[in-house]
Amino acid sequence: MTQTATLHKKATGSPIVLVAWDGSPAAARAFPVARAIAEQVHGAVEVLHVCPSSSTEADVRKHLGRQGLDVEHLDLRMEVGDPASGILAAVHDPAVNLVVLATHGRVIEQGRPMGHVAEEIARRTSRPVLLVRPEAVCVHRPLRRLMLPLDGTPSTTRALAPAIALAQRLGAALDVVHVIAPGGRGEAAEVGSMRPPRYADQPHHEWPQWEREFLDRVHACLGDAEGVPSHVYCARGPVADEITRYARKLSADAIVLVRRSRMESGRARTLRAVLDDAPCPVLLLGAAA
Amino acid sequence: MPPTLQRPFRTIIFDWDGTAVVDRSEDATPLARLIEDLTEAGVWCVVVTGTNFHNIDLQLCRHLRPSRRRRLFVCANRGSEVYGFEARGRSVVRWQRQATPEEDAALTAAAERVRDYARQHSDLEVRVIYDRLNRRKIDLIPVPEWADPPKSRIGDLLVAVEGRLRGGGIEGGLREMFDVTRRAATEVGLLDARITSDVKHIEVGLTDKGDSIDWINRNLLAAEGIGLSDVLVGGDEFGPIAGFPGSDDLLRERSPGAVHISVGAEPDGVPEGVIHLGGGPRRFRDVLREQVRLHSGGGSAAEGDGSHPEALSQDDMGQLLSPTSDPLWRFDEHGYEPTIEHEAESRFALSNGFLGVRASLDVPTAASMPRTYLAGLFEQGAGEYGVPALVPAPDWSGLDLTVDGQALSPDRGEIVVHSRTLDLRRGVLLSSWRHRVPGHTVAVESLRFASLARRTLAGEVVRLSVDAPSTVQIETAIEAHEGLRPHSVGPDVGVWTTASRRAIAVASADTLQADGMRPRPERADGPRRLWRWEARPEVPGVLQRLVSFAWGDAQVAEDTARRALSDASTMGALREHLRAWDERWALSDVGIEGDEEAQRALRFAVYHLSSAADPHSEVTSIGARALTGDGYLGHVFWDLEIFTLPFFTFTWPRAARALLMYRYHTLDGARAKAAALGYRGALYAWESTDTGAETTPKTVVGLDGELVQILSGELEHHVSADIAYAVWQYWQATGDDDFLVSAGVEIVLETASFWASRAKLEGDGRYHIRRVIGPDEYHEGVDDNAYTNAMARWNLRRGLEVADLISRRWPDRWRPLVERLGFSVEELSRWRDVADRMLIPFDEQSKLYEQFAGYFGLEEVDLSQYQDRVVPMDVVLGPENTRRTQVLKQADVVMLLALLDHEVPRDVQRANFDYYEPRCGQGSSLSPAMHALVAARTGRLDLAERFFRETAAIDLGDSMGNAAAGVHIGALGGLWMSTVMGFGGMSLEADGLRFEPRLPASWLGLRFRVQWRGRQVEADLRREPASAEFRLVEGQEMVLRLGEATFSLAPDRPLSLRKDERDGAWKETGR
Repeated sequence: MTQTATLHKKATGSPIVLVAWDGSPAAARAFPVARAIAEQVHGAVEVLHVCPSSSTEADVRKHLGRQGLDVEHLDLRMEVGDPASGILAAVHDPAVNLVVLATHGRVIEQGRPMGHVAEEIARRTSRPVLLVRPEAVCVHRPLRRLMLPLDGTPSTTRALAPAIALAQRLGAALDVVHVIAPGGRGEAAEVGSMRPPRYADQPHHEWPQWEREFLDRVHACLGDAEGVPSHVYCARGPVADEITRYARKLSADAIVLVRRSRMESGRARTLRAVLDDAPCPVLLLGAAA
Repeated sequence: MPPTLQRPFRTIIFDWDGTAVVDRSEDATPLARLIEDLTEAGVWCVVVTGTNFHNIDLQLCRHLRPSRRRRLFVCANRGSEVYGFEARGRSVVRWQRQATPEEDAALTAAAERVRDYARQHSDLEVRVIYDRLNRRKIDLIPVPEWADPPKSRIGDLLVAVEGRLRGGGIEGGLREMFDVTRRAATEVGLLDARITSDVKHIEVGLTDKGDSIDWINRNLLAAEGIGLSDVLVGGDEFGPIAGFPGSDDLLRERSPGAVHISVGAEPDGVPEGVIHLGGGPRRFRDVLREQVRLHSGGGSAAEGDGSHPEALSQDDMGQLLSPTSDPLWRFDEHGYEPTIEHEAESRFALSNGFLGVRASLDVPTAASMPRTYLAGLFEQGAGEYGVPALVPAPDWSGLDLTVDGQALSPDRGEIVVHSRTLDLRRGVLLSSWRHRVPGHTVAVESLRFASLARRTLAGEVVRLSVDAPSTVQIETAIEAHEGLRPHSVGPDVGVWTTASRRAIAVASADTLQADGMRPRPERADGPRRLWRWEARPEVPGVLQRLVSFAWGDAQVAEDTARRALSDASTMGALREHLRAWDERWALSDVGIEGDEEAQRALRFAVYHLSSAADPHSEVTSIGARALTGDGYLGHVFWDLEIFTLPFFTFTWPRAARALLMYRYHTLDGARAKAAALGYRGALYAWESTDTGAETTPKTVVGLDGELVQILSGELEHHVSADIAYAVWQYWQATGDDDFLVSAGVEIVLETASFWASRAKLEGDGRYHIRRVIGPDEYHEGVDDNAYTNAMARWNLRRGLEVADLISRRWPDRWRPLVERLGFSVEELSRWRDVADRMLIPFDEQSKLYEQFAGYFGLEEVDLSQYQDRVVPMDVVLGPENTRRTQVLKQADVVMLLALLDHEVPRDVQRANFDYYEPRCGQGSSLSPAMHALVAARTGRLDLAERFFRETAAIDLGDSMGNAAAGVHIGALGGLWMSTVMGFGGMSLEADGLRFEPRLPASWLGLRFRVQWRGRQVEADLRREPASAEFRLVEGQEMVLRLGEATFSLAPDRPLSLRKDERDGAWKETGR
C-alpha cells in the first residue's frame, strides 16, 4: 500500500530527488545530500519511508522532526512492505530522477560497507543510486565535482552515460581518474581501450596530449559529454585505495562507480572497498545482475 | 585536332548561334561545364552574338556557377552591348551603344524604305522587325517554313531566299536587297550604317560584331596584357554567302594575329587563315574540351598523354579507387570504432612536407579530428604554457552527404562495410564505405592525396553510388578552426588570419560529374558548394576536389594559392603525385624477405619519412610528429638530426640538405640562447620552431596537478653537438662542398665554440661539463655526462678539422668567415686543448663508460621485476626515486656507441651494451631503435630483433597510447637506421661505404638502396648462407668494405660476395 502525502505542491516536471529513510539517524544523514542536489537542479526532495507495518504520516513527521529535519518542507511517500522492494520500486519510478540512500540504516553491520537493504538495491538495479556513507558526510554541499574513476575501457566509459547527464544537469565538473592497477594490462585488450603511455619522450608534451586523447575517447563513448568541464588524472596503485585517495585529494563531492560484477559475497571488491573508505557519496551505476 | 590548336589560349571569343549552339532551344549545359572549366583555368571567354543578352543569359549564363562567370563577357545585340559579371555572379552592363532618337527614327525609316522597295518591285511580303537595339531587321522570307532556320540549313535557306526574291520580281535577289538597304541608310542620314545579312534577314544598324571585338581589344586584352596570338576566335560564318562576307568575318578582320576557326558549313569556303573544322557546335565543344585539357596540364594530345579527367571510364575509376593488391604495400583499417579514430587518422595521414592531412573520415563524426597542417605555420602562445605551436589550417576534407533527405554518417544508420586503406605504393588514402539507411544502400569510395609533386596541392576523388533512384545532395566546404579569423572568404579562394596576422589562403576547385553531366552547384555560398541531383543506380556521381594552400602575407598567400590551381586539375595533379611516389620508392624502398610484418613496418616508416620532408624549403623542419598530428606542437627536437636525418642523407640528399639549412637559418636563435646563458657560439634550442629561439616551457602542471620544473630547455645541451654531427655526416655522405662551405662550416664552428666555452678546466687538469641533462632525462643536472662530453669533444675536433679544411681549400671563403665569427688562432688552439683534455668518464678495467659522475654508485634496480608495468619507470617509481637509481630513460651511453662507432672498439661496445641495456627502462620512443642498432652491430641479434619490433609497434601497435597525436617520426627514422645501419651494418668510410650484414633469424634477405657522393648503390644481403650482392645503379666506381676486405664497385659490374664460414672473410664468388 502506498501513501503519498504532499504538503507542498511541486511545479509540474520539476526533478524529484527521493531519499529513502528507515527512521534511523544514520539513514537521515542522506537528507542533506538529497536536499543539496534538489536545490542544485531546482527540484524537490521527497522522503520515502517504507516499513513493514503501517504508521501514520503524523508519526513519521514527528519522528523526522526529532532528528532535526525540516518536516514542513518535505514531501513524504509512505509505503508498507519490504523496504528494499519499496525503494526499488521508487528507483524505477520514471517520475523520480535520483534515489539517495544511506549505506546503512538501523543496523550497522561490522565489516560490511553496506547494509543488506542498500546491498540488495545495488544488486538488483541498473539505475543510478547515490549511496551516502553516514560516517563520511560531514559537510553537505552541492555536487560541483564528480570523480569518475576509469580503467580506460570503452565499456566502462559507456556505462557512465547517466553520470554525464547528471553532471550536465548539476553543472558539475568531472575529474576523470584513470586508475592503473599494478599488473593490470589485461583490461587493455578491449578495442579502443586507452592505455597510459609506456614511453613519455617529453612528459610536458606527452601527458597533456594523453589527457586530451583520454577525454576525447570518453566523449566518443558518451557522445554528449561536450561542455562538461573535465580533467584527467592518472593514478597508480591498488584501485580502491587510489580512488578514495584521489577523492580526498581532489575534494570530490561524489565518486561515480560502475558496478562491473555481481554483488555476491567476495565479488565487487572495489565497490565495497571504496564504500568502506569513501569520503563522499558514491553514485553507483551498472547493469543489473 | 590541328597542331595550331594544340596549345592553350588565354582568351576564346566565339559566335553563339551555329557555333556554340545549334539553336536557342538546345541544352547548353555541357557547354557551360566546359566554359566553367576554362574560366576556372584562367581563360577569358567572350560570346559575340547578334541576339540580346537575355537569350544568352537563359541559355548559358544561368547554368554557370556564379564564381565561374567572372571571366565571361557577352557581347550582345550585334556589337551594341557588352555584359560582364561582378564578383557574386550578377550581370553588369560594361558598355552599351545608345541610339539617339534621331538615329532610331532613321533606322526605322531606312528599314521601311527597304520594305517599300520590295512592295513596289514585287508582290512579295517582307517584314520589318523593329524591336532590336540600335538596328532594324528586314525579314526577307517571313513564312512559317523558314521561321527559325538552323544554321546547318543555310545553304537551303539561301536557295529559298534567292528563289523567293527573284521569283517575286527582284531580279538581283539578295544582292539587290543588300544594295537597296545600304542606299536607304545613306538617304536617311545614316552614313556609318552597318548592313549585314544572315540570309533570312537584312539588317541595318549602328553597330556590328566588329565593335564587340574592338571593345574586347581595348578593355580586356590590353588590360590583361593578352596578345592576339593568345586569342582563339570561333565562328561558323567566316566565308562569303551569296557574295557577301560572312557575319563572323568581322571578327576576323578586327583580330589580326588571332587563330580563327570555323565550325560552320561554309559552302563557299573560308577566307585565308581561317581553319575550317566544320562539325558545328559539337566540334566547337571538342575544341573547348581540348583547351580544358591543355590548361589542366594534360600536355599535347599529340604526346599521347592521358585523357581528360571527366573521360575516365567506370573501369578506370574503379581501378583508381582500388588499393594496391599487394598486402605488403598497404595498411587496412576495417570497421568504424570511434574510440580509436584518432589513431587511424594519424597512422594513415598524408603529407608532403609542406602540408599534412590527417586521415579523417570523408564524412566526419564527433570522434573525428580533421586537420590540415602547414609546415612552419607556428603561432606564438598557441600551445600549452604560452609556447608557440603549429596551428591547423582551415579544413577542407569533410563532406556532407544526404540521400533522399537523410544525412549519411558512420555513427548513424547501419554500416555495411567501412574500411580505410593507406596505399603506401601510391601515397594515397582510400576509403570504402557502404551504408544502409531506410530505403537505400549507399556506397561512398574515395581517394585522397597530398601532392608529392606540387606541395601546395591536395586533392580528393569521391565516387558515390546508390542502389535505388534517389535525390543525392553533396556539400563541400572549407572550414576554419577556432582562432582563425576570416580575412576575405570567396568561393574560389578564402583567406583567414591568425592572431598574429599570418594569413592562410586556401584555393579550391570542386567539380561534380553526375548522370553524364556536370551539374552546377545549387548553392555556392562562400567556400561552401552544394550539389543536388537525381541519382540513378547505374550512374555513380564523381566529385573531384583540388585545394591549394599558402601562408604568409595575405595578398601574396592568396595569389599563390590561386595561381597553384590556375594550371592544375585533380586528375592531372594526381598523376604527377603518383609519378613522384614512383620515383621516391625507387630510391628508398627497403625489402625484407621472410618477415612480412617487418617488411610492412619498414615501408610504413619509409612512407612517413618520405612524406615528412620538403626538399624545397630551407626554413622549415620536421616536428616530432611531422605533419600528422598536433602532438609536440610541431616542435623540432634533436630527434630530427640523429634519428630522422640519416634516412634523408642516404636516400634523399636534397631533402637532408634543406633540413640542415633550417638549422643554418636558425643559427641566430642558437647564438642568442648561448649568449643568454653566458656562453659563446651556438647552443641550439631544445625545442625549436620557426625562429630557432628556445620554446621549451620552464614549468608545467604535472599529472597530479602540481607544478613541475622543465629543465631540458636549460640543461639539455647535447643537441648542439647532435646537429654538428648530422652536418658532418651529410657532408661525408654526399660530398656536398657547396653546403659545407656556405652553411655547414658555420654550424660546426659555432657549436664547437659553444663547447669550448661550456667546458671548464678544473683542478684535475681536465675539462668538465657540469650540470647537464644527457639523453637519459631521468637524471637531470648531472656532471660529465659521457654522451655529452664525448659528443662535445667530437664537435670540437670536427671544428678544428673543418677550420683546417676550409682555410686550405677555400681560403677566400675562410677569411671573411673567421672575421665575421670573431675567431682567432688562439681560440682554435684552445679548442684542441679542451678536446684533448675533456673528461670522458671511462673505467679502463671494466671498459665501461660511466654515464655521468656518480652513476655507478646509484641504486641498482632489477627491471625484470617491472616487466608488467604499463607506465614508464619514472612514473612507477616517482621522479625523485628514479633519480636515485641506475634506471635509464633511454639509450645514453648506448647512443654514444651508436654514433661514435669508429671511436669505440667493438669489445668496449659489447661491454657497455651488456651493462646498460638491462638498466634501461625504454621510457622513450627513441630508445628501442638505438638499442636495436647497437645490438645488431655487436651481434646480439635476438635482442636487436626484439627492439626492432618494439620500435615498429610504437605507431603500428599504439603501444604508447599516443599515436593519436601523430606518428613518431624519430622512431620511424630509427627503424630505418636499425635496419640499414644495424642489420645491414652500413657505415661511412672516408673513401666509400662499409657493410657488415648481420640479419636476424627471421629474415632471409634484406635489400635497400643508398646514395653516396653522387652514386646509387643497391645492396641485396642474404642471411643463409651469408652473402651479398651490390650493384652500382648510378655514378662512378667506388670502394666498398666488408670486414677486412676492400672491393671496387663499378658500373655494370655488380659485386657478388659470400662470407667464408671458415675465416669469416667476405670474398667474391667464383674466386
